[in-house]
Amino acid sequence: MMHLWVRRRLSASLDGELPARAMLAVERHVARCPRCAGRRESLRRARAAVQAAARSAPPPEAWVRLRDRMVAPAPPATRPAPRRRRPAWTLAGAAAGALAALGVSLYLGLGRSPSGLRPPVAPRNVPSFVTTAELVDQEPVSLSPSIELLLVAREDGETSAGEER
Amino acid sequence: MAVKDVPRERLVRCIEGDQDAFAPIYEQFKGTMHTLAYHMLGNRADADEATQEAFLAAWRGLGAFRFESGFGTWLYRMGVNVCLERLQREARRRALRNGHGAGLARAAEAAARAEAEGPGADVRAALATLDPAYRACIILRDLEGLSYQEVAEALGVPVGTVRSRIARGREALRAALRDWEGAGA
Repeated sequence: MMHLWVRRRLSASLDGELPARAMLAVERHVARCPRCAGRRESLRRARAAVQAAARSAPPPEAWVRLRDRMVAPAPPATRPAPRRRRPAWTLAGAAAGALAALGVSLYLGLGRSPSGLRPPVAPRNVPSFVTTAELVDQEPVSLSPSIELLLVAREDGETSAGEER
Repeated sequence: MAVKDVPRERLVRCIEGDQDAFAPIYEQFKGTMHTLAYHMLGNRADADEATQEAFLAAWRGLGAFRFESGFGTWLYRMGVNVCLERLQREARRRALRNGHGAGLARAAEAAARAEAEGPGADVRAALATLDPAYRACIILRDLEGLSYQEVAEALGVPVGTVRSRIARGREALRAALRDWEGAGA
């Protein structure tokens, strides 16, 4: 358990980037654990190899090239191509078409039942050939008890509010 | 070694468009930026291009620089971002060409390209096998000498993340260097 805790902190302990108490605990453990001491030593070697790695520099002409690019205007940010505006008459035409389709479907649906189309099915307990207004005026058919209770409560509320006024 | 910084007046002149004021900044940071790019990307030609891109991005983005943070860490962030974008572009191109397994191919190729170039090739090849996020932390810490706090600021991540990335990166580096020594023996 201690090995795992220490191993996770070996690298930071090399860099002196641990809180003092954790640093002390790691040092104590490493002093008596050859395995963790060996691991830290190999981490130290890896760090030293990177520290000793060659440094590099850009070629001498790079500044001139950079300066030329600095003078040039920045390329515009890439944006999606703007959508072409449709002429107004296409919108008007589409709207007229939609209205015509709606009118035809209303005419066919309410007035006639063309052959090949199924006639609309009347709901249960509702006589056929009723208008929409009549349907609204009818009592709800076979409501569940909970909905009935809600309706009763609402009606009671409305009544009492009316009485208060 | 702490991150080198730039006088505020010079930065203000740069923001106002004075290119001559940018020349000493370039001189001051060109080595560190190129070294960062060289070890991030594994070869000199890509490092040359990435260094140019990073300085150009810095010049064009100076208007957005907030003086609360150090200019050096801000510039490092530009450099790391440019390198990561290049690596991602390369990975996408390779993925389109090769399908799955592109990540491995990329690492292998980066290692191979690093091998081919001069002294210290073993370290560059070992670095090339690391995840780029770990690689950036290791380079900034061990090569540029930044503290964990400065690395965190440069990369825009919490210090705890830097600590764990450095720990994992060094473990992987240790293994890669051991393999390299084993292969060379």
